[in-house]
Amino acid sequence: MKILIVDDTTTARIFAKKCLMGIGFHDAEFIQAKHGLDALEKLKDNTVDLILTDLMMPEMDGETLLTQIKMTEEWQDIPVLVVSSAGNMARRDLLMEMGAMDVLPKPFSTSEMFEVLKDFLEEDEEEDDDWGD
Amino acid sequence: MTGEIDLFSIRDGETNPHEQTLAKVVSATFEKMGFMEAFVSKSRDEDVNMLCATLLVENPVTAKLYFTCPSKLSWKIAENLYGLEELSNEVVDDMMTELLNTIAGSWLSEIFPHQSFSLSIPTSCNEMYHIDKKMYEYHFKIANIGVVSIGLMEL
Repeated sequence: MKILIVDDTTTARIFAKKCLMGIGFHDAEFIQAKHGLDALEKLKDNTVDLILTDLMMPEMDGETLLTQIKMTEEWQDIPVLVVSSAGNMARRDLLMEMGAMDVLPKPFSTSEMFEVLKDFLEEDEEEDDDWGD
Repeated sequence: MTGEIDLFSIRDGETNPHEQTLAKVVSATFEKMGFMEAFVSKSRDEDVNMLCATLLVENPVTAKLYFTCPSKLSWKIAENLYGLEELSNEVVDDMMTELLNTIAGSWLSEIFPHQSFSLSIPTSCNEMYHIDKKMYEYHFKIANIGVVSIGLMEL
């Protein structure tokens, strides 16, 4: 399992990683990107299972990144969770239409992240069980 | 200024309707990210060693937000977030900008739930701001360690 975390601050990336590890992604490999362009470069070099992205970032923002991902055949099925303090109701609807898996407003707790990702986590665990059988 | 909500239309002696929203947002931010409680305070921290971050609100209002925090408190928050071994001045400055970004975005999301808004990328600021009549300042005591302040300046 590879998870790409896209945010321009180290603090947000570390905090997201700690929350993800806290809800069950202990064995995941975490890849970090500082903005959308950086994320696209990382996607070219890695097969990623889940993307968490902020919205407001330099170079390329999260909305543009989401558009690029959903327009690219090899990436369009990767779930993208938008994690942003700017995700009000108006923007949430737009992001969901653009193909976001969900929008998790900042600040968030580990339990709030779990609520958003529990289905994805269960699917991942089932896949692991299938491999084990 | 555009939009139906004016952040600066509060007359002297009136209660700022956005202060309660800000208190809710600051409390949630420090509880979830720093594992600390926040309470409304009446005045700034007297500590001379303060760290500062700032950003511009560009739409639907034009304003500048400042976030100040006593150095010792910011290092304590960073310690809670990162763990002791990873702390540096760069990490603490980065955390200040992320805290301001989170507070500003969630505050404006509450004030403008159905309207798009835009904020600039937050940066660290070297000089403390000065209060003038076009500015509101809000203070919050964090875990009995120090008082953080949020300054909202009309541009």
